[in-house]
Parts: sequence; structure tokens; C-alpha cells
Amino acid sequence: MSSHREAPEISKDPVADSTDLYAFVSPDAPDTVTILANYVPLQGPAGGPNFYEFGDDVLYEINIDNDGDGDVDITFQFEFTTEIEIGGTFLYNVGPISSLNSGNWNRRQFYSVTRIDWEENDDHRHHGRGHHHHHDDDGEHDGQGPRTTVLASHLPCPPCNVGPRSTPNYSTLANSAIQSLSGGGLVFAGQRAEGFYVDLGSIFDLGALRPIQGLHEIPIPGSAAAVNATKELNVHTIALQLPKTLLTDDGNSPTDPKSAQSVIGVYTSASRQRVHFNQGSDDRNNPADFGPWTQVSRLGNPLFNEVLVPMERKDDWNQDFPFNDSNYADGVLHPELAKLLPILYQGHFPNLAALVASGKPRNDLAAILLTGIPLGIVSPNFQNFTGPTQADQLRLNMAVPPSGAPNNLGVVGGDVAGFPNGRRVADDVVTIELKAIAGFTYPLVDSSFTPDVAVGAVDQGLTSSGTDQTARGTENYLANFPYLGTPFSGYDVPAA
Amino acid sequence: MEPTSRRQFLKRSSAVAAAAGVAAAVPASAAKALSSSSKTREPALPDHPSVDVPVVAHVRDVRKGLVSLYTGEREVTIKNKRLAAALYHATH
Repeated sequence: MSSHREAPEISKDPVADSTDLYAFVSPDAPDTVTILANYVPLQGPAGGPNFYEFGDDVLYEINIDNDGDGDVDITFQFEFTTEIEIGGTFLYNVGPISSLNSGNWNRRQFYSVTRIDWEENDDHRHHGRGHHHHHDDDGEHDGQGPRTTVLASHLPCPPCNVGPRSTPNYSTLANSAIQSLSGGGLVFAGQRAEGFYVDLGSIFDLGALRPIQGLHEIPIPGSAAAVNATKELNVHTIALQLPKTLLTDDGNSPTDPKSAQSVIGVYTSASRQRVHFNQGSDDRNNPADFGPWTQVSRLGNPLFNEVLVPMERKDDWNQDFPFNDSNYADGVLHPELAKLLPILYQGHFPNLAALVASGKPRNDLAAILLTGIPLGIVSPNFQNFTGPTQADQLRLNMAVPPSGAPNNLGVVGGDVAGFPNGRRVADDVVTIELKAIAGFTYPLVDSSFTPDVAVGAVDQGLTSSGTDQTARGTENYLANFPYLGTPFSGYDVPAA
Repeated sequence: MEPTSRRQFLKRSSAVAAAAGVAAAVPASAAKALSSSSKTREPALPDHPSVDVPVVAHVRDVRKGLVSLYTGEREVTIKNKRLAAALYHATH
């Protein structure tokens, strides 16, 4: 999946699992950028009575690099607290929840939003909050930190979508949890319908795509309709909609797509404190977690850790920082999947096989995923290049206006307002990346290369065309913030 | 608050420094462990509730005396062979 359960350790810690990241110029508010960071994957809507929630013991962060050095310049931190309002009942709610302060709602969650501005320097490291102190010879402590601004506190999350008796008028209820931020912008944190779509069952069954499964080395005759494995599942979303002026290095709203100032790199992360106690009954009044926050999950581009990083390095990647991603670049420059496609689909990818055999690095993929695309490569006026530092970040040129006719194949489909120029909720990132790895984008760096004819057939088959904005199973995207749809209700899903 | 140089911040955060006579600065539980197995006078504690916060000690290298202490959101690494030895004896 995009980044659901993409590494061994984080697959056992879903509350901290960064699953998808979106960043796009808001189509209905083009002076702003919307960033969506998803966690807690694969939620069965009926999963009560302890319905899904964020982790009180997890520090969630959205990180912005606005000067192209691969390191974070602005961090938005989100911290959650859970409160039991009623007590004496095992129930999530004891009656209909008709408002965010309903007396019928037992288990509620609140959150704070904090902005951190890091001052630029030459030391490309990031520590997050809480850090390692050492006593020097005179026992002096460091006590300074970056500039920290609390933008909001004790904001309510909406409840999960339990069902029509417990959460009637859910859309209205959830919309009331959209809050304004001090200094500008909107925020929302709570359950949403999963917006990522993928035929997981087929792709991870030895790299098969149902529409062309008859061509596979282990053929299943004929073609079959693709299956959206994330259909009717929910996820938890942290959503920000911010004026562009709050994200740029110079504080201006970018208007020139050719300017480096117009491009930001985004990645999301989740951290836990270094020490955790499983408390006994005598410890209930003491804290369970100690020490500085340690990153356990991160996400920039979809599928990066999932598909391009070897199994034995995935956990390390999650704990590492984007500015160190040159250490993982080999998986981009020589992707395993590009080697497998000519083997799994014998005779259908001869040009890709020759490219792989040549040992030439996939500089097209490096541009898409690690540095951004330089000016003039895909169009005379488009770039989202952030310089030579290799870092897995979702790069967005904020001066590119929203598309009036979005194509779910994004830049590959001729629409530079979509992935990999940021990522919109409907972008078919699986097909885009599969096509790219199969060789579709290699001519951008080597005009003598001709992609195999079979690349045209590489499509997971969950959209009917490039203009299809309602992929199968994700029909409930919203036109407005937070764009990801109303979550499926436990009463309705699974259906009889 | 004015922004702090990230370089300064990180340098202070990451530099490993040995400490001499650091026992007076370590939190209550570690100081108590130290005093229980030594002849030194127990360091005075401030008369304030803040000394009651829990601390977790991780003896990283008992022979070198490297001990990491965790409290709140902080990690303090000290080098104190006497403390490391006291913690060893308290647990063996």
C-alpha cells in the first residue's frame, strides 16, 4: 500500500503508522495549500466498542522544507489527549451524539497544534521535541530550543462514524470539528474514509495486475476487474489548510512556477518517547513514557519505503531523516521492481530489460522522488526541483494553480498540478509509479530510450480513465476541506 | 522567544561530554542509589515537589560508567563509574 504496514516494526504499531500524505494547492481556495497526513490504517468501520483514535502517546508531525536542503524548516506538531466524560460504562456513547459536546459521548479526544520554526544553519540534523542532554564539566544544561508557537489547544476531534443511532447527521457533526488556527488556516483531525486505492491482493501476489494477468509468468487466464483492497475502510486524518505565505521561506505567496522559492518539500512523521513502561496497578498515577521523542514512522512520496527500500532496511528508514536518503538512493536508481517486471512478464518488457542490464541509474526516478524535477524536463514552465540533496519529500510547486480538468495520472497524464507535483486525493499514485518504474519516464533523461509497448497496459485498473476522479470504492471524496470523504459507518459496513 | 540557531541547538544536544561530580545534578532516585552503596554524604535535595518526578536509569556501559537517565521528555547521559557500580550492585 502507499505506506500502510510498509515496514516490519511499524506494521505492529498502527496508531503511529503514517499511511498516506497529500499536499496540493486547494482547488477551492487557491491561496492556500492543503496537507493531509493519514494514520491508523485499515479501519473496519464496525470496530467498536473501542473505536479507532489517535495515540495520546504519539507525537504527530507535518514537516516542511522550504529552502531545498532536505532538512525541516517548519514543523507542525499534533498532540492528543483522551478524556472519559461519563465513566461507569463500557460504551463509547450512551445515546446519540448530536454535537461535539454531547453529554452522551463517553470517550472523547482533543488535540493541540504547535508550530516550530527552525533557524537555518549548516548542521543538517533534526531532533524534534525533547532532546539529548549531556552534563559537561560544569554540569551546565542546554535549555534553548527553536521558536515554538502554540496555534491551538484542546480542539475536539469528531467521534468515529458509529452508525445512524449513535452519530446521526455525521457529515454535519464532523464538519463542526473543522477549526480555525491562530495566525490563519484551518485544521481538522479525525476519522475519514480511506482515499488511497490499490489492488493490493493482486499486486503483492507476485506483481500481478488483474487487467493483464494473462501475460504474467504464472498466468491466470483472461483479464479481471481490479479490486480496491482499501474499499470501505476508514483512516485517521490530520488535515491542515494554510495560506501559502505561512509556508514559504520569504513569507510571500509564490506566483512564479520557475522560482525555487515556490517549491516546498513535505514529509510527515510520528514519534514515540524512548522509554515505555507497561504499568502495573501500582504505577497508574505515574507516567508511562520517558525521554525524548524518537521517530518511528515517516512518509514523503507514496510507496517509497514500501517498494524501494529492502526489507532489512525499512525500519531504519522510518527512523532516519530525509536529508540522509542518499543512503537509500540505490533502491531508486536501480529499483528491484524494474528488474522483476521483465522476468514476471517474459517478452513484454525488452527495452526495460536492456536498460536494467546496462546498469544505467534511473535518474528519472531520482528526480521524481529524491530531488524534484528540474525546469524544462516535462514542460518549459514547470519544475519542483529542490537542489541536489537527495531526500524523500513530497515536493509541491505552490505557484502551479489547481487544474480545471485534473488528470489522475498527474504529471504523467500531462497535468502538472498532480503527483509528483504534490499529491491530490484522487491521484492514481500506484499506476503512476508502476508506469514510471516500468520505463515510461526514462525518456525524460535519455531521449534515445523507447518505453516498451506494454507500459501502456500497466494500470491497476481502478479508474476508468485519466479524468476519472472517483476511483472504484472511493467515490466519496469531498470538494472542500478536508477533501477526504465522510467515513463509512459501522452500522452500514460491512453490509449484509 | 527568538529562534535559536539550529546548529547551536543540535550541537548542545548531541555532544557527548563526561561529567565529574555530577551526582548532585542527577535526580533523586539515582542519587539515592548512589548514596546507598557509598560512604559519601547524601546530596541535599531541594524542598520542592519537583524532586518527586520518576526517573528511569539505563546503564549503558557499567565499566565505563555510562548511564542514561530519562525523565519527562529529557534524556541525560552522564559518566559516573561510582553511580554505575552502585546501580549494578543494587540489581545483582
